[in-house]
Amino acid sequence: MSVRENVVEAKNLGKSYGAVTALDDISFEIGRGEIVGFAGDNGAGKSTLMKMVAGDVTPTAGELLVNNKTENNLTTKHAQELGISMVYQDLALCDNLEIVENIFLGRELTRFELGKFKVIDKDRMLARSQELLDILDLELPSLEEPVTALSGGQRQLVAIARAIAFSPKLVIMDEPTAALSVKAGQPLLEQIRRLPETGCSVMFVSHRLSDLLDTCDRIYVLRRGNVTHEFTAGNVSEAELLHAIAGVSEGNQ
Amino acid sequence: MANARARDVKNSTLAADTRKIRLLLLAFATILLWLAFDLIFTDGFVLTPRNLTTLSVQMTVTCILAIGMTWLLIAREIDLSAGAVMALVIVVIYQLQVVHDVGTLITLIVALAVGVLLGLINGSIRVVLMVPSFVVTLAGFSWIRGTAFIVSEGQTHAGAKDSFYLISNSYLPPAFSIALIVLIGGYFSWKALRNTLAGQRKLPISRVLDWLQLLVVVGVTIGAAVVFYVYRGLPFPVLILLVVILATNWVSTSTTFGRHIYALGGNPLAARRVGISISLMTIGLFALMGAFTALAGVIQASLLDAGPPGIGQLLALNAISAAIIGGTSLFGGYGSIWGTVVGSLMMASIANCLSLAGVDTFFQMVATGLILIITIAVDSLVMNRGKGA
Repeated sequence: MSVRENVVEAKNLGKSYGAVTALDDISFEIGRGEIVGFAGDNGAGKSTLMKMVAGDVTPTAGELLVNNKTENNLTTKHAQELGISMVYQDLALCDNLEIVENIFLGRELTRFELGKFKVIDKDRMLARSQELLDILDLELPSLEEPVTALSGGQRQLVAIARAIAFSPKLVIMDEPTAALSVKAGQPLLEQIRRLPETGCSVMFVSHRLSDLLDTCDRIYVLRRGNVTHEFTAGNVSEAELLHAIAGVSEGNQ
Repeated sequence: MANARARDVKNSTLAADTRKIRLLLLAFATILLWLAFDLIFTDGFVLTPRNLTTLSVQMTVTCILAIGMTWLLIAREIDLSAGAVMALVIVVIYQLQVVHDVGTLITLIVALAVGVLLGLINGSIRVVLMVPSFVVTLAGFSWIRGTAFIVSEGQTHAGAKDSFYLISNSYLPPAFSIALIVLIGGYFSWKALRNTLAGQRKLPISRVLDWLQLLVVVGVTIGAAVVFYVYRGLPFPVLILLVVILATNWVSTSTTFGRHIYALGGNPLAARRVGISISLMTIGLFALMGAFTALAGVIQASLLDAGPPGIGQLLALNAISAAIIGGTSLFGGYGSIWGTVVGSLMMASIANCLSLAGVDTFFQMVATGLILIITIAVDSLVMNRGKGA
C-alpha cells in the first residue's frame, strides 16, 4: 500500500524465546536507496531485528516483507540471494587471507567448476575487488596482502566491499564505527552515505547517535522490543534522540 | 592518512617476506648440513647421487603424511592416529597379499578404502560429538593400533607379490626422469623469474628474496636432474611424492577447497557465516588424511617388504614436527605445502647424515628435537618482535 518502493517492510514483527520476548511489536520500512538508522539501548532488540532481516532468526509473530513479498521463513542463504548482506560488528574477516580473498570468501569467482570442486579465477577477483575499493575510495597498493596488516578503518571498508560485492539491495551495518575513533570513523560514514549511489539501501544500527544523525535519512528508536519513535533526520536533535532511547517523557513527540 | 597506509602495507609485506626468509633459511640450513657432513664426517658420501637418491626415498613416507597433517593443522585440527592407521593399512595389505593371495590392484583399492574409512571415522566422531581432534585421534592412536595387532594376530608377514614389491623398488628411467624434472623445474623457474622481473613489490629486500628464491628453484632443478640422471633415475616413491606435492600445492593455492582450509583456521566463525560447511570440510580433511596415510602405507609396506603391526609408532609426531619445522602454525591459519616439504627434507637429512656418520639413532632423536626447538624459538622471537613494532 505504501507509495514508496520498499526493500524491506516489517508489519508487527515479534519474536519470543519461550517466555522471553525479544521483539514485541515492530513495524518499519526501508525504501530503495534509503539509509535507515536503528537506535536503542542494550536489550532493546536491535540485534535480534538485524538477525531477523538477515535471515538468522525467524519471527514468531507479524510479517516480514522483502521486495514486497512475505518472507517469514528467511534463511541466511536465501536472504543473500534476495540481495541482503550484512556487515558484522566483528567484521568476520579472516586475518590470514588476502584482501581479495576476504572480499570473495565463500562466493569466489571461478574459471572451472566440477560440483563442489572449484578453481579460483584470481584475475577476475582482483579486477572486481579493485572496482569495489574504488567505489569506496580505498587505495591499497596491493590487494594480495593479508588483511591482518590493515588499519581498523581499512578493515571496515574491506568488510563493506565484501557486502556490496554482489550488488545487494540492502546492506545491514552492525555498529560499523564502534571499533574506530571518532576521527577514523568519519571517512567510513562518508562512504556509507554514498552507498545509495550504488543502488542499495542501508540498515544502520549504532550506539553513536551523532553517527546516526549524520548519516541516516530516518531513524527508528527501539525500546523493550517495540518501535517507540520514528524521526526524520534534520528534525531531531541528539538530546531528543537520547531521551527517546532512554524513554524519558519529554523526548516524546 | 596516506602515510599510515604506506606504513601498514610495508609491515604486511615484511610479514610475507618473513615467511619467505624462513623457508629459504631452512633450505640453506639443509644444504649446509649436507655439506658439513659430506666434507667432515663421511668422506664425500652424503652428496653422492646414490645417497641423495636414498635420502629422497627416505623422506617420502613422512612427507606424504606431513602434507595431510599440514592441511589438518591449518584448519586447527590434528591427527595423532596417522601412524596407527598406517600400521593397520600395512597389516591389511599383507593379510591380503600373503595370507589370502589377493592380487595387487585389489590390495591397493582395499588399502585406500581402509585409510579413507578410518579417516571418515575420525572426522565423523570429531564433528558429530564435537570432541577436539586431539582426543579423538588419541583414542585412534590406541584402538587402531590395537586393531592392527588383532588383525595380524601379532604376526609380521613378509614377501608380498612382485607387482606390489616393485611399487617402491623401481625407478623411472633416467632419460624420462631428467625430462620430467626439467619440465617441472622449468615451469617453477619460469614462474619465479616472472615474479622476480615483475617487481611490483618495491622493497629492496623483497626483490633480493625473489632473486634468492629463483636461485634456489633453478639450483634444485639442476641438482635433482643431475642426481636422478646419474644414479638410477627417479625412484617410484619419489615420483608419487612429487605428484602429491604438486597436486596439494595447487589445491592449496588455486581452489576454493584449499583457500577454505585457510579460512577455517583463520576465522571459523567468519567461514561459517559466508556459508562454508565446517563439518563437511573437517570430515573431508580427515578422509583425505586417511587417503594420504594409506598411500604412505603402501609405499612403506613395499619398501620394507614386510608388514609389522608395530610399525610407525612415532610417525604421526614426526609428521607434525616436519610440518611445524616447515612453518605450519599449531594454532591454524598458516602453513604451506612447500614449507612442509622442506621441513620433511630437513628431518630426513638429519637422520641420513647422522646415520652415515655412524651416530646412534638416539642421537638423531635428540637432534630432531633440537631443530624443532630452534625453529620454534626463532619463530616466536620474530613474531614477538613483529608485535612490538
